[in-house]
Amino acid sequence: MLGIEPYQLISFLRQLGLALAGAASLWGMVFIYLGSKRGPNDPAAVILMWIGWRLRYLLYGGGALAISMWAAIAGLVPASAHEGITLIVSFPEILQAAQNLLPVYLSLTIVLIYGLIKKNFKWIYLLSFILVFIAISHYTDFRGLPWREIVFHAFHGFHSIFTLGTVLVLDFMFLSSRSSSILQQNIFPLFPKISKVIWIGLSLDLLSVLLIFPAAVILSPRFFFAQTVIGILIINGVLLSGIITRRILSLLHEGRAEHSRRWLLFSNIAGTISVTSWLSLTFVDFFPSLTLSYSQLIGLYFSAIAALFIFHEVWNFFDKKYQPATP
Amino acid sequence: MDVLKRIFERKSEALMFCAGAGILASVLTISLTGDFIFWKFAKFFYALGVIFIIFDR
Repeated sequence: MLGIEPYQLISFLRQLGLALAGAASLWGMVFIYLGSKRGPNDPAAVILMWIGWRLRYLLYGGGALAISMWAAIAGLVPASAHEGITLIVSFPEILQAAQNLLPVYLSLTIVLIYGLIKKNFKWIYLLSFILVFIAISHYTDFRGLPWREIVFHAFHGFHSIFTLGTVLVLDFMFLSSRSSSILQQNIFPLFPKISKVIWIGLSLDLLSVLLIFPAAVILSPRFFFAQTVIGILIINGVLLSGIITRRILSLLHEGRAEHSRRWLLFSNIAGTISVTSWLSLTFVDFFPSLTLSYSQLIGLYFSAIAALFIFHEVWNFFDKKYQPATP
Repeated sequence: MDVLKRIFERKSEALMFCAGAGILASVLTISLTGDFIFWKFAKFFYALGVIFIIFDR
């Protein structure tokens, strides 16, 4: 249907799960480290530790999705760049890679189960990150490939941790902090720093694309859609990590939380655009035979932005209802 | 000019904005002419913007 094969959908979901689990491990590790460096009486340390351990939910969710989709591929099947520029990977190559990764996925399963049983398992993030990094980079069989293609595939795989996964983590942090201005004051200053990693992640994809340019360029609706979304993504990211975050922080520091609401709305919209854009880019790249036209893809993209915005508002409503706001 | 300075406090942000706008413009130029020159310029701006962002405080 619409040029979408079931195995392509499975591959997309595996990439999404790995990107989420990888980014949750990475940022969980970073926040716990930053929290442990501060004094025990520092409120920022408590908040950093809190958000660091809270990311375990994303690690478990992403990990479970990736492992189950890997199991489906090992029994079934595949993949492709996030710029609408693609190296088509064949079924036997994907299957071979999935079989090679059996020890990695088994180890990840054991680490996650152990983390569920032993709540204060300190190594969970580091071990998960290493395993996810290997799994996400090695999604196709590298044997016999020229070095350019090996580098392309590896960069193309793991940059999702820094882009798609990190954007999802950022969104989770934004949603987690909406009910409290103290959380916002401590979590929002981290956003520009996290955005740097997203920019670097996108440049990794750009670098990998240069290795296969122009041979892999196909001027399809997918390509034009992906380029449009990248353009929107960059402009949106500049505004979100720049003027919007700066304005919210200055209003919060001045104690004018009421005035920051309008900017929080802008932040919410920009965050929604960011998450939808990265999901859309990853999605279209897994479906090289997609039969949708450019206008249909753009229509679906804006519908997804609206749907995610509504989801954010519903989340916020229930968050406020069941978790009374702190000052 | 002041408005622009307020929106883009840093060079990196202005460069990134140009890169994003350039990529959007290149969608039009590539579809009309098949030429990637705008696209390449935009990517160059992006790369420059990332370098500036890395060194931003």
